[in-house]
Amino acid sequence: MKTHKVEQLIIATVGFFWCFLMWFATAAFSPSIADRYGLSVAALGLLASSALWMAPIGRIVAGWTADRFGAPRTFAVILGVCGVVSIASGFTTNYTLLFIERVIVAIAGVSFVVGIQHVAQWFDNDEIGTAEGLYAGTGNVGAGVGALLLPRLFGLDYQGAFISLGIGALVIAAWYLWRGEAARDHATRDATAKGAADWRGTIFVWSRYIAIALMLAYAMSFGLEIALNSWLSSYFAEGFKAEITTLGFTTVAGVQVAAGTFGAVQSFMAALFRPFAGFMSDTFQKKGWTPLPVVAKTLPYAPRLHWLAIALLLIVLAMLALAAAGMAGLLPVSIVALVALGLFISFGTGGTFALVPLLFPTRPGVAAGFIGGLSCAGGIVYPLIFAGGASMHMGYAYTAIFLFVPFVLFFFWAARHERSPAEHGIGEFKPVSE
Amino acid sequence: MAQQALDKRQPDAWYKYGVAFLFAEMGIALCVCGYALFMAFTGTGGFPGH
Repeated sequence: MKTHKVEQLIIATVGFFWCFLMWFATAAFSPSIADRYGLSVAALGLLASSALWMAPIGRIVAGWTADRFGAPRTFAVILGVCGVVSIASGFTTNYTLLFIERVIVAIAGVSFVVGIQHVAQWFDNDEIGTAEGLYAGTGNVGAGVGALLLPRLFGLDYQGAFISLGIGALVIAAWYLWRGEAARDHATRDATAKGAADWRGTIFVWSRYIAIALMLAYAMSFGLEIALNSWLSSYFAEGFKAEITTLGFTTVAGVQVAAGTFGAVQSFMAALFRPFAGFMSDTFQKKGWTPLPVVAKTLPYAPRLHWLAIALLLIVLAMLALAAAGMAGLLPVSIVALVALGLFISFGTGGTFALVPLLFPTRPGVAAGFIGGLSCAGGIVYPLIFAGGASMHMGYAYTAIFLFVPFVLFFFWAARHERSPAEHGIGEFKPVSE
Repeated sequence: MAQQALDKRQPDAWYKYGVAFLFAEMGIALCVCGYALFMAFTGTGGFPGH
């Protein structure tokens, strides 16, 4: 079949965008669902968290499956299964069953690593940054587009939305199978499929302090991004109920539209500014900027470590600002803080993956699976903290102080070595091929 | 060889459109933020939820 790499990029991007749309459609309709089933704030936190339960292990498995069977078949299966269950959830009237079905639909979130692998099989090194930026940014913003548009298109009819999204997923799955090609040539494909699973290399990467630090950095950025995707609609609907009502949004449908619009800013900023973050990491590298104490200054990629550390500090500050704006009841200030938080999250996500191939040049796949997969666990924990306190607003401050500050301190500690940070880890284990 | 290396550094035709698309997306993100802020002040941007 005659195809072109741009066609493959478009297929992967559309598939990933739709997966993100399905993944966070539950969150976009959380006010409707809460109204219909009488859910408490804690129950909304659990619903938001449940969207992420399948991500950590699912992403690691999906990466291996894509290598073994090819991205088109893997992606089509993900879209097909999630599409069918999404349609089924549109006919469900029991909340427990709906909850279970939406957890299954959330498997769509694992598609990220499949598309990353697909794009990497088609583009050369000198284009891969832009290609992956287009794929990841455009796909990730599916969450924001869903929060912004789904309540406007479907109103309270979340069931109709789930059915429509499921049908769309089946159509895209068929398209992916029809036009998708796993790699640009047989040699590339065979080399990937035959790549033996090296468990010694996996243990080596997983036990390195700097890999753990990057995983925590990604949990602070991407983990937080997906947690907020599933949480913010509920947060604005409940936490700023009086302010939103004062603005004239008095019905459940109106509150849903307003809450979705306010929450969408985070997704748009975090997703679409991610390539800019990679550009900033490159700028730090070119200029040789190493302004922070403790963090290594002489490593070849030291400026990139400093850029990521700055991003992590900014995330902590933005989380505290978001909590303060919420406690003060200042809706516009809260949105400005959220815009800043989204931007800083993009700095963190882009900054982390600008470092992964440099720190683990011989095992980028294993490192990406560990860092990109396990970090999603953060997205499971954060909504529970956001919803668990006496005040919805203080959840951001608790998360920043009790989780993020220790994460940042660990990053500084792990990134202090002036020679080969990857040599330092738990035990003296080292794979033969390293 | 040198010519090959030079050719390799020349990006494909799609590349400039890809970069332009990335910048357009950043513009869209800023527009959404502006729209959300406008709505937070005026409450009139939420059609049909208003």
